[in-house]
Amino acid sequence: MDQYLTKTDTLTRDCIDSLAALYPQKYRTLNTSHNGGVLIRRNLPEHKVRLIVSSGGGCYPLSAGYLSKELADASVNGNIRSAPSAYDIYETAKAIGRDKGSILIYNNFMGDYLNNDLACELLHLENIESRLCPCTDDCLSVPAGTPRHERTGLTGLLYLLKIGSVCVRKGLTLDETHRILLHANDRISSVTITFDFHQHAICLGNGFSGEPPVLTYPDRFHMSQAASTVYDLLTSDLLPQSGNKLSILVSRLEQTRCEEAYIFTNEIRKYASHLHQITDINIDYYTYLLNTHGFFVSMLCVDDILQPFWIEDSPITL
Amino acid sequence: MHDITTAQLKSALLHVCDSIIQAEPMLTELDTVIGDGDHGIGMRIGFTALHKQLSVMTYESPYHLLHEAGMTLIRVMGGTSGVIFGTLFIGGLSAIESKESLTLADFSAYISGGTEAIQKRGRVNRGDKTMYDALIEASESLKHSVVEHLSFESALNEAAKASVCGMENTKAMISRMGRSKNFREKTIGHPDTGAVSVTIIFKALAESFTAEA
Repeated sequence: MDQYLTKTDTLTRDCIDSLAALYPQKYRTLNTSHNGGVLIRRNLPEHKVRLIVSSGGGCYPLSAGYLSKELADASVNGNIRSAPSAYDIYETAKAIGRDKGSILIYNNFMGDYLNNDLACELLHLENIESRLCPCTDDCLSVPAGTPRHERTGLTGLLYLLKIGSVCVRKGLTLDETHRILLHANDRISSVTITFDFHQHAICLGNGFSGEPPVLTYPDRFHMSQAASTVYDLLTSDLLPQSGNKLSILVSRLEQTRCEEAYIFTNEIRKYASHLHQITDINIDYYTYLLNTHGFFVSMLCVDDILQPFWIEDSPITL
Repeated sequence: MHDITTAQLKSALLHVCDSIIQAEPMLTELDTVIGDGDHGIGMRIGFTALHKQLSVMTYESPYHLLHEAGMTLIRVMGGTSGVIFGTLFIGGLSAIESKESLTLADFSAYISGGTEAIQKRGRVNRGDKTMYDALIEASESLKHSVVEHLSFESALNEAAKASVCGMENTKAMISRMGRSKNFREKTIGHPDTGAVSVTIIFKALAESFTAEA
């Protein structure tokens, strides 16, 4: 059971208010937000498409920590583990996206889909352009053979934001940006790997909210075995072609030390070095999974279409 | 009772709010087993806000009352429940536009419209182990009661019983929607939490109109 020092009903609002108060030169809140979960980047450039990311609350840095020139323009956060309301998403897009429109980016959970979809409808009624961009990168979230659009999302969301921000800075239109992002989404695969110390096993496919793993390997507890297992899983999902480059993103989970993240990621690098061309590696604490030892691992397959929008020497940092 | 007035409907909705708020611990516990534990909290937040609003506002018609109720839930709750339970309130509004009071046929058409809207928006069907499994049974029961010329209170009691049957049926189903689908076969034996909330809503409506009769 999660424990909190603060009132859970107002955790998101209080956190957003705190961030805006602590960093007033960077962020502002939205006074038309009913639930107070909206954080907006200050000094947004004019006449640009907006990237609005949304998620449930209680998993910082997802998604209030994803605001920067290289990632999102605004973040809409729900209550703990609950998607934000359609109204807050709608009000955010109304506030910042009237000019060139907004892309609504979210992990493809049912609540996030429903609220972003409804927000899109409400915006349409007011002739404000928006497009939905669900992140469907969790390769073990559905049984094998299930259509990709039914997958849920993990940390691949960050790849969409990074590519989207490059599209926006290059001045692409809403539809051009949306097309590139949908293309990118099909080339991202992610998985959760956790380490079970009792069974001396690695587990793949845990969900954000304590959903049980899909695969368990009792005989592969070593870092190098974990790295190769994850790498093989993601590349078998993405099937990179000759000439494609791969980007790796590793997000350590709550109980995992930074040292362990570097060692694990280096094992992935070593394993990959003979197999594919790695364009860049990103390591950070990108989101939160309670009481868990392990990693979220995401992989992006950069093809000819994505190459102009991929900046190799600029790791994703929060 | 033949027709229900806006005031009666408001009173019934206040009882629905109280019932949902009281059920939060039970809903949270159920949702923690095969979901992410946010359903009870979300419902409590939404129906607390609705209760607060209903307590201070007056409405000129059932349409305005139910429209505001639905929009409040969507605005305040978030999550899957906010959109779905909000849609339950606003999805069938076209059936009661310009009505000053509601006959059982009006109310049945309204619930039916909300049920269809949920099916469309949530892309759900019978057997998916969702709140729709309880709601569709209640909606079908109301339609049947219209044909049978039952009284409002009898019809709502039958609808409440039907929703419980629908909820009980979800225990044998494997979840295919939302977070609980990740628990796969482990969801067998547990009811869908949204379906439980539907039974609470119809039970409260039935109690309210039975007390009125």
